[in-house]
Amino acid sequence: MKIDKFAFPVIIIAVFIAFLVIAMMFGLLPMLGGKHGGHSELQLFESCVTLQGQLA
Amino acid sequence: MTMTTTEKSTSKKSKNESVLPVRRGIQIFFLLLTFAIGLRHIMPGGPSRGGAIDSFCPFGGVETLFVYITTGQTLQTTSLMNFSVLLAVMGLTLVAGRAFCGWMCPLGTLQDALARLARRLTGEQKHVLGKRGKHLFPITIPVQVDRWLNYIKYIILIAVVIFSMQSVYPPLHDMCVVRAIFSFHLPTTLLWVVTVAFVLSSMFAKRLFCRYLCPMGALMAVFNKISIIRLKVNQEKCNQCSRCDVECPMDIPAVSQNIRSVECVRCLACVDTCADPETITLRIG
Repeated sequence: MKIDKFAFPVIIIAVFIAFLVIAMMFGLLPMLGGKHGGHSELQLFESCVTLQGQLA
Repeated sequence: MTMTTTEKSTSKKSKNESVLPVRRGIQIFFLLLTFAIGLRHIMPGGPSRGGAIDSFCPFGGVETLFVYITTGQTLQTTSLMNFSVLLAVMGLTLVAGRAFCGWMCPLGTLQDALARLARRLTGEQKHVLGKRGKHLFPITIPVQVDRWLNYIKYIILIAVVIFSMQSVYPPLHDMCVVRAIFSFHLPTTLLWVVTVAFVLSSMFAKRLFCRYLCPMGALMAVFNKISIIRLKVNQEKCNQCSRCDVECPMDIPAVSQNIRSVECVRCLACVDTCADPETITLRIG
């Protein structure tokens, strides 16, 4: 079945969002709730500074 | 049979209409979104500001997958968010091949822009669709060399998966192009080198990073041939004019003969360039 080339971007955006929604249903979007899985280096640095301050 | 005025006008319109502006619009949107995610993380605002740009990279999901399965923890700088983006990208790949590379990846957008800039800086006055200009860069890499260089990204993918099993940080963390460009934070010389190399390589040859180095591209390439939506060429109508070869951002040699190439990013540049709208078409199955 032929697809119009202007329908293609609509399809890919819709599919991308649909799979993101599926990911959300499986609880794979922790960032939206403000929770973190891993830590950025900046956060690690901040934790070190805080710990250093507490130790001092 | 004579055509009515309306039919003529519709036929002319369908021949001339280009999907390129739509693609550019989507590319710019995702590029700005990625910059916004990077900026959001460096701005003050406490822990609620969310993860670094690393957490939004689909390849982070590949890097941290093994460790997550075996220990229940993600590698440093990655999170469950990486899995969600990976799921979305791979889902899209199964439906439409490497459309993510052609339409959404911010690195792809930057490479396209840098290639256009290189064309302008090295001799091209005005780009005529389908016509090879007299510009010096970006160059076309010889087919034989291209064929061998293509394997590098698969080697990188396998190496990353192996190294990720014994790693604390993602194996590519120290040399990640996404981190170098979108984190607004270049703490090491290596990241500066990566940024400069990315810019220069993108101007040297079209999408050089995508074609030879991107491990995410390698993963998606595996699924490119089994995607539901594919491009098809009507060989009876194709006159081998090679105009589509000129416009292909992945520099796929003889596009009309290699329309099912694993390197195709479904950008539809070939569909746009072809003079006959019925020669190269998008089809399901």
